[in-house]
Amino acid sequence: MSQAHSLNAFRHWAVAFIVCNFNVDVGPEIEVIHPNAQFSPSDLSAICFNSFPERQDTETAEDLTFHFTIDNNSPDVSLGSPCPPYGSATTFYGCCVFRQEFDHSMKRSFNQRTLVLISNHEFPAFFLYILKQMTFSGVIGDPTALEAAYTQMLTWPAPSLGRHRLPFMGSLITLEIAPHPAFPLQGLAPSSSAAPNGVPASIYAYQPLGSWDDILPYLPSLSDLDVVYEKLLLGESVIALAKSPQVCSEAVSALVDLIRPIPYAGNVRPYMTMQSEFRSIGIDGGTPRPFIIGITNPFLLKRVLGATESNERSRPHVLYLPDSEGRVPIKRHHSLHHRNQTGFDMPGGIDPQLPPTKRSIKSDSTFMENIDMMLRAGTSTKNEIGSLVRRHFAELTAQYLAPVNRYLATSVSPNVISPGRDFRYANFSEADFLHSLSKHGSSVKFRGQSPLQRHRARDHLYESFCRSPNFYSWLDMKLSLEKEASAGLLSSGSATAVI
Amino acid sequence: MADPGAASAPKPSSSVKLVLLGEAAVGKSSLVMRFVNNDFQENKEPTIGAAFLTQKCNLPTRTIKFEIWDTAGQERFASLAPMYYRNAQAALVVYDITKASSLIKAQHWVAELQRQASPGIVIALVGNKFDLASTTAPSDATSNGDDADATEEQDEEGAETDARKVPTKTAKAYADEEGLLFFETSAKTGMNVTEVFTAIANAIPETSLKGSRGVGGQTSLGRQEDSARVNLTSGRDAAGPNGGCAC
Repeated sequence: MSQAHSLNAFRHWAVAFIVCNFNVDVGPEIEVIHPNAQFSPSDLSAICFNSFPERQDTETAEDLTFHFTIDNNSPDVSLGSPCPPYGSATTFYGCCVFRQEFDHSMKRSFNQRTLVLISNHEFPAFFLYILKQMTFSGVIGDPTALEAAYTQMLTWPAPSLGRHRLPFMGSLITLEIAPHPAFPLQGLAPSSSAAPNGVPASIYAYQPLGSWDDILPYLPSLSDLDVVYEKLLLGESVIALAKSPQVCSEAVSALVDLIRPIPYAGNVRPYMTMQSEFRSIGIDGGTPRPFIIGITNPFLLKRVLGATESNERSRPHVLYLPDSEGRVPIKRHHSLHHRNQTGFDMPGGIDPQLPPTKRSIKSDSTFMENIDMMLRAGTSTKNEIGSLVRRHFAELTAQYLAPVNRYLATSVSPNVISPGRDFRYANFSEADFLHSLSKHGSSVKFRGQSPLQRHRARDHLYESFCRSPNFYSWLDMKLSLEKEASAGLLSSGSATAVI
Repeated sequence: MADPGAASAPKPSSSVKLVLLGEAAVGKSSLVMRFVNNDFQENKEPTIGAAFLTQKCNLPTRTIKFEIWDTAGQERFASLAPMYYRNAQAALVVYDITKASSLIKAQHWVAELQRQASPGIVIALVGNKFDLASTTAPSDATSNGDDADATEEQDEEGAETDARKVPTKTAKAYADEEGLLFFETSAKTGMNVTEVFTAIANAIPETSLKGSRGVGGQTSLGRQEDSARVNLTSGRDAAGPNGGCAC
């Protein structure tokens, strides 16, 4: 196999492994890029800054794992996958394992290194799994481990939809690639139950990174879940502020998953730092787009909120994820003026007080109480709460979408699929749909004292959804999957059934 | 052949993780290539990290699917070895019968496996490059590691002299003492290669076999059936070295 040919085999999966080192005098710097890749200087600097936590915490003893997303400004890096999923031509996805080790010889007494894998595929759970394998017993960035991992990946067939059995450093990994990233409930138990030898039965390429079991304890209250769910459903912007890149990036990944199969139609940036480029989320001169971002710096929150205000955009919803201090209440207490509500040292000039949020969907109190009980009991096995949360919201989303699906199925001729997809868009009438909604109803429970109020809440939520970019991203996915299914491109017949 | 049921019903099949360890250039990759592809290549380039291959081995009562991790022998990769032998059910520790130091290295590997690998691991000690020894009179001369530093291959092509440096007796005695399977092989001629893998397959205790994992989109239901079948045939683990591998 020629060198160029084999490099291509690797590039089907990823661009390169990068080892970053935090040099006290000059800041983060690149130690190794393997295999060599012609990243532009601006992308290299973005990778460096995104690969380290923003605050130094001398208590950090365990490895931090997190992921980030940056724009691909490296025209000289050749990308390509011969079959779907092709990956993104405009975005790099980075997965990191950060390690801090005490070292007397260092100026700051710490040795801080990160192993990063950059890819044009957004498979964070899978890539972090392989990075953990590489760093499990050895040094971060051990050149022989990089070489062994790289050589092994050369033998992998290019990613394609369906199941892969991939040998990697002593274990066989089963990777499932769904026909669309927004397939709901990817990687949910029972398959996530690990085999006796510690290898997970299957990793789903787009499964969320974090488990709600780990994220919920950071929430100010459990009802914040309901609040943020509705924001996400309507494609509004959300900022997750945490103290570590791991918490914020896992939260972002879990949030995007909540509304699946609706693909969140905005920019998703699991971890941004002060040095990040903000045009991508429509700040500092970009096109305003909705976004979900994870940050760890309250000053950055101030900057982003300030920029959205001056833009006259709607204020992003802020999810505060401070370090947990005891029990998470079901409902947020409104009377706590005296204490810092956010749990962060906030800079002056931003109002940590969350504006009252208007919600349409009625909270499911049984669900909330169940979660509360499980959290308090503290006996739930790994992922038990997470599965419950994911199932609850997947079901809610399916119920929510049911009237739209019914309308589309009955009012639009199923046989005509135009070469473009505009036919169905053109055919969709909001008024007709709302009429059909009032006739058939929705099984989602809405808030309101009287039936009239509940109907208003319902109509408001559907109306807002149909006008949101999420509606179009969802239609887009639905139509392309139907098209592929009719062309026989999807291996499993269940592909469209779940959408 | 011995099992009347084998003809009608498909035999239970299980995956076995097997790791190859040993000094650089003793012929680990060549043994695997002979076993998997029935092929041999002179001057094979050194392995980086590890290569992964699979091969089935048909026994009278069951099929073993070897998942073979052929590790790099170069010293710089030694620190990665635990990843490869972790959870391995079988190991082939290979030395070169023409290089005394390679047996010392093999003994280190055996000791490390016995210390750190899974408790029930089946280990085979394999002396490769039998084709370089004169078959008539195995020499007893043991040059004690004077050429241990010489990493170059020292096979004098075409020379009639016996290149053997490790007497069969010495290695066999050591293997017996440690309870290892022992073979001398030639990846070049194919001698004993299949036999090594078959002997390992037979030596894997039935109880340590899992159902084959996820082969060809198997459902978990299929997997359960598999393990049930394995249970049915348990107690036949002393099947002896009859039956051959699929190559």
